[in-house]
Amino acid sequence: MSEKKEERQLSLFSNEKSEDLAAIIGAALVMIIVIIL
Amino acid sequence: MSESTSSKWIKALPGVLFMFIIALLAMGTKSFGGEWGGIEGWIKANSNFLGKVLKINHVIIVIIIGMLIRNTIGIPSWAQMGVKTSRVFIKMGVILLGSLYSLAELAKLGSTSIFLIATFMFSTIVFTMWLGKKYKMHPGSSACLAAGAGVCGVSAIVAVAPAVKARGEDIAYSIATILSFGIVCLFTFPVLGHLLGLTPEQFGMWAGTGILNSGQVLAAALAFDPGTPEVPSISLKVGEIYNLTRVVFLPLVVLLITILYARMSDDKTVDSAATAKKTFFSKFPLFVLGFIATVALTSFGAFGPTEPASADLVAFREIYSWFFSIGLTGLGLQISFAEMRKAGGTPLIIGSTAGFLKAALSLIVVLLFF
Repeated sequence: MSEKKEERQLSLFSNEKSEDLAAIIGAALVMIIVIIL
Repeated sequence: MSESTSSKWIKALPGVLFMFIIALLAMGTKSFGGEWGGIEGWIKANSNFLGKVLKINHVIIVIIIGMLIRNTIGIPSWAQMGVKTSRVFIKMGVILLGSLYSLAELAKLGSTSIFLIATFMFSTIVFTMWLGKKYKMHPGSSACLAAGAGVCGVSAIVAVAPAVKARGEDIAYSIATILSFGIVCLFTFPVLGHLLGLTPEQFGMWAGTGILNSGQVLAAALAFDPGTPEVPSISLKVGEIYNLTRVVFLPLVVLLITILYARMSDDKTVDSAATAKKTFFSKFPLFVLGFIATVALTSFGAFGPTEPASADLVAFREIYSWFFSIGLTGLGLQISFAEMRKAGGTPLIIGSTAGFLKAALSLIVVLLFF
């Protein structure tokens, strides 16, 4: 249990969905920056 | 954003920088207008065997550096949080990779990939579970192994484990087996591909079907044919469609394995219908929608002309190659030989047999029909 807790504390994302959302937002930001520049 | 989340993001920065520096060492500074070709450039200039025969490029270099660090001095504590973000870089790279395709290409590649992936995936699952039963493995263990060998490695094992009531050791054995097999594939597929004279398209199909882990498909495809911002990697373009097809199948696979598990173990407490409903939405890979949106935007001309590629599209290619290098550095940093040593006994034999057969048969199909 403590290993799982430690794993969660070391991770930025609570689950795979939030990791996917972060990737979508990150990629969209990159696209916007490239288009603007 | 809560305070703890923002402080986690700040804590992740040193690790991200750490991965970027390793990628920079491997790739050099040419993307930033510099002259230095990195370790890849040095190898190409100085070693005919490594550079021209084995075709070692920055992808293999970052993975090897990552593995060396992890298994010698270990990941520094200040970098651990950042290293965990490596999958986000790979996913952002895949979303940007969508700018290589048109909707028509996606439909064409997708239809072939659905057929090949579905055939190999479901036959691998049924075969692995049958072999597990024959050798009297614990049903939960063979179900985890079947998920790993059939779909997309670790994610599939983790997704299936609760539904089949897998024990901790089942999960650990399966992950170690699938990762060990995948690492062998990662290094042997590109060399074999060159020796057999496969075209980039054939290699992409083979890697996307035969390699079990998403990151390893990406690495093998880029190792075979790294491409450039002007001429993008064909094996990556084809392989990634196969890989994404496999990832999208994940919810369906959890359902199939749950049903097979319930039959093989006579476990009446497993409710397949409830599991299907619960897993379909919770396991659907959301980032694939980002990839499809990029394909649609590219097809409608949102980023300018594709032939020849606009400056924006060339910039996307440059950026995703860096995202992939950073992400694959993280992949290397997470490969622990101590973890891999957990693989052994019957699971290792069954997992490797299923994985080897899948790799060999998919190669034969690709050579005969494509």
